[in-house]
Amino acid sequence: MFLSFELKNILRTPLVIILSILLFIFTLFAVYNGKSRTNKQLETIKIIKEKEDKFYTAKKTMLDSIEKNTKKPFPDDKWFLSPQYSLTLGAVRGAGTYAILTPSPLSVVSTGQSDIFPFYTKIALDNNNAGDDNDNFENPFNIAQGEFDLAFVFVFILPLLVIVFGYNLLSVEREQGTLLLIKSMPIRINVWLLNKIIFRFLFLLLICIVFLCFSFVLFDISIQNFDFLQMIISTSFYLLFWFLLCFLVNLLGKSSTTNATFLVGSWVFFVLLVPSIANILATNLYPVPSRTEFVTAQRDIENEVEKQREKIINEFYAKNATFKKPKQEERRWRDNWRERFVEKYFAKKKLDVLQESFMKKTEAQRNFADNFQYFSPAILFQNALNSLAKTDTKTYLTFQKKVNDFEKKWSFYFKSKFDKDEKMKVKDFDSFPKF
Amino acid sequence: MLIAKNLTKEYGNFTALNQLNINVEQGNIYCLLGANGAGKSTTINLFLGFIPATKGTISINGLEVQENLIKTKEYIAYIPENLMLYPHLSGLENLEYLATLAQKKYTKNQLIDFLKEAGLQNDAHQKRVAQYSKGMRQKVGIALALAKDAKALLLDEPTSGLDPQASNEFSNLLLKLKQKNVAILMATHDLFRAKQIATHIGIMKEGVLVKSFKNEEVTLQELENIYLEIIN
Repeated sequence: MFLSFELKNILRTPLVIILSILLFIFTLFAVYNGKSRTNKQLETIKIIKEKEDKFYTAKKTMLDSIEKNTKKPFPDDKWFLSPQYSLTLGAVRGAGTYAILTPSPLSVVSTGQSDIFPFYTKIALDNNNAGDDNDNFENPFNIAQGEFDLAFVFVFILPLLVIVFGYNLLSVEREQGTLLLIKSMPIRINVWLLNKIIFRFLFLLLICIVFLCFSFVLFDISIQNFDFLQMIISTSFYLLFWFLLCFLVNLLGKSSTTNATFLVGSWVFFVLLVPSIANILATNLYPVPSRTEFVTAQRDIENEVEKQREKIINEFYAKNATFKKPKQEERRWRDNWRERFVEKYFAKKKLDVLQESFMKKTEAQRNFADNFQYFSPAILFQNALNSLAKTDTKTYLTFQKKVNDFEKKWSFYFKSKFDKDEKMKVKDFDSFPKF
Repeated sequence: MLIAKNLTKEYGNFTALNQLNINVEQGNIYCLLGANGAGKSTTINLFLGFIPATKGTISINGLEVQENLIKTKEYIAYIPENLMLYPHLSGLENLEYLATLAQKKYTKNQLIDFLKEAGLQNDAHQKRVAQYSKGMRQKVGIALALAKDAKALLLDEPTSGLDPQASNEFSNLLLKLKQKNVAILMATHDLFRAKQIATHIGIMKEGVLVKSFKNEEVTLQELENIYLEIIN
């Protein structure tokens, strides 16, 4: 009877019904948004993989024909078309492989850092710049206004629904005069109130689970995995925090208006203020140069290296006796590329130092902000959802590190062959470094 | 059943109730009369355990109230001056919920029987309480007392604001409960109803029970004279 009474109480409160319907609509829309974003990423991945496969299949077929003497090798001045050269397969004219961070099944849940970090990078001997592909970065306007994803609905909107569910559980009894009757019953008011809170918590959690399952099934997203269960558990804890707050506020014995004001104030504090304060403090205490400043510093280094080019090249030939500096009239494409690599790796050493300093500053800022999460369940919950969606900073930084390591492997493989002036064979295709 | 011994309630320097001694036996109706602020509601609230006594003891069915807050509430039913119920539920649903809180389990038909016994018309059982008059809500209160199988009923000015017919109906219901051996303690301003149903009458002034007597010892006119003499 207690359960059916509470259920009737909820179902006969129009505001709760309206907000539950809104939550359902928001959940559907947010999952649809997330699915669209993920689909776009998957579509991009499909296109770039096809592009890469097409390139290497064509080169392999060509090389096979050359090896079987059914096709003439390319003349030296057309080296960039010949699959016999490592630069043709590892560096120039569309050569290179894609390092891809495939979206996880739950990536629909949270945009997280996916609108800031790239989810794929083209790796080539002469380039590892993700900016080659136009759709890898989000429109800055979209980043500024934020994404309407499931994490937004659950982190920001769900607590408001909890507040509507629980702000006046005891005060309304006092205000409508039923508390006297309840107090004359052989029950403990605190236990009775706790039962009401627990019922509402379970009811709202059930609603969330049903809405999530329905939305996920509708948009063909798997729910039969441990991550989905973890998401439910995280949501439970977040709901529990807000219901517990409602319980404590009700125990203070204030009016419904006071309770509502206090709870909405708590929402503003935990959901809006603490994250903003964390952001402001992190930015001020651990300032990091902007991306523009970083790119400008990068270009300064490149320009500096360009100016010292002659000196750097001369030092290289002085230190490496196996290579002789060619006269201008004897200069071939290999010489140009060798010197280009010398210049590039010289610049890279300086760029690595710059990048490391930049990364250290961002890491210090991030660590400071991470410590702030314990002051707000909203930040904790958002981070948990990002982590489950694999759109958190850690995932992207790990991906970037893997990309950097892989870029070294790729460069080493093709540059070694270039340095040894080794011709490529069809069987070499199977030994290309794989991400 | 309802016993108060030297019961005193003080709020700082103000004494709301001073050395009250009453004993309401089963099957008796004790009406407490007095002007506003005489201490009638304080007495009821002390029996309900809503407030602790400053001095003295108060017991229900032999159990000290403050020491047995939950247990003593099993024996009592309470009808305040303006009994409020859950407006979005019907009378039947209200009764079902409140009976559940009192740890009583009944079938729907049994609950309907209680409502009928309390005099609530059949067509009102399923109506939402928001549409009920005060008299109808008081009847649900009586039905709850029946459902709780209460040994004692505490009423705080239950007939104020009721029209004479509703008030008369309500008095008859109390007499029915009296016949069921329920001990009833009622705070009221209504001398006529007190004279009509009480077995005992007490008149209070400024927290003191000034006079207490059996109903049959006085006529209505004498009761009125005593009352006016005391409160003036």
